[in-house]
Amino acid sequence: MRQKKFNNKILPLSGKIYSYSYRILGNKDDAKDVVQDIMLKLWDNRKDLDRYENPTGYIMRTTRNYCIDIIRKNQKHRTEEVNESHMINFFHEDNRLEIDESMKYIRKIIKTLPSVQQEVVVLKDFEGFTNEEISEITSLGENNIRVILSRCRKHIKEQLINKYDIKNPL
Amino acid sequence: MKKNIDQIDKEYNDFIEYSKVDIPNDIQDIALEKIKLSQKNKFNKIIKWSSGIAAAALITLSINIIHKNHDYNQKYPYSQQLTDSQKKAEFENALKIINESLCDNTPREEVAYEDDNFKIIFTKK
Repeated sequence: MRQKKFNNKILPLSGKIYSYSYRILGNKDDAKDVVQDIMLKLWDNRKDLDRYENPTGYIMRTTRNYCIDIIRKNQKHRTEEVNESHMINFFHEDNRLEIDESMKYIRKIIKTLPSVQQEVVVLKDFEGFTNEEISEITSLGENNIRVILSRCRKHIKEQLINKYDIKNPL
Repeated sequence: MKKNIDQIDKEYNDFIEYSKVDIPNDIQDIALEKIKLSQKNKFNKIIKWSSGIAAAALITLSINIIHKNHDYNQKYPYSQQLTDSQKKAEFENALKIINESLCDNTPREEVAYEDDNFKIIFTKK
């Protein structure tokens, strides 16, 4: 891949890499470092990128693994093996004051979902990735992703319906 | 608080919007800067390696020249460079010249040794 193609096709993904790594790591400076390191890695291996028609999934997968490595390094004192998805916390505490009760409640609902489901919801609804890209990032099948998304959205809706005591919602 | 289903959808969408990460405007520039810096470092490394190799080649060449020159100058100073057997051979040769000069009936001069301060000549009459 030549520099011009790299600049046009890969470099614009910096924002997505930043957003995704910020969600995983919960720190702006760390997310910036991840963008730099991932972009440098991609630049060094730019010949391999030509193999991918849509390299977004591959790049986000690389980003995810890199962030998990960072979390692992920070948690090296822990001896027990932890599942990758369980290591990721997509909803870090934020200090913004304008968040209202309903938003807090939705966040709470999503946080109660199993970690794999949380990740799929975040990637689809919050980050806007396609099912194909999510499949490459998470190594889950596309059908499985569709099922997870449908269940999660239904679960979130049901929880909200119950909270607000809506009769005959359909 | 009573809400309807549309409000719930709206709340979920608002939450998605609220949860969007603010991406710094210069994030691409930051990434590009890192790549450029890395390229610059690689270039500097290549220059350093090339300079090192050139310096090593120059040193090797210099050593070779010095060594060759040393071989060329090996005979000087004369007395220090000759081995004992060579000195013996030279001495025998000198004696041979003297002997030939003495035996030869033709009148002539034979220079046995000469330097800036000293000269030995055998004269046959």
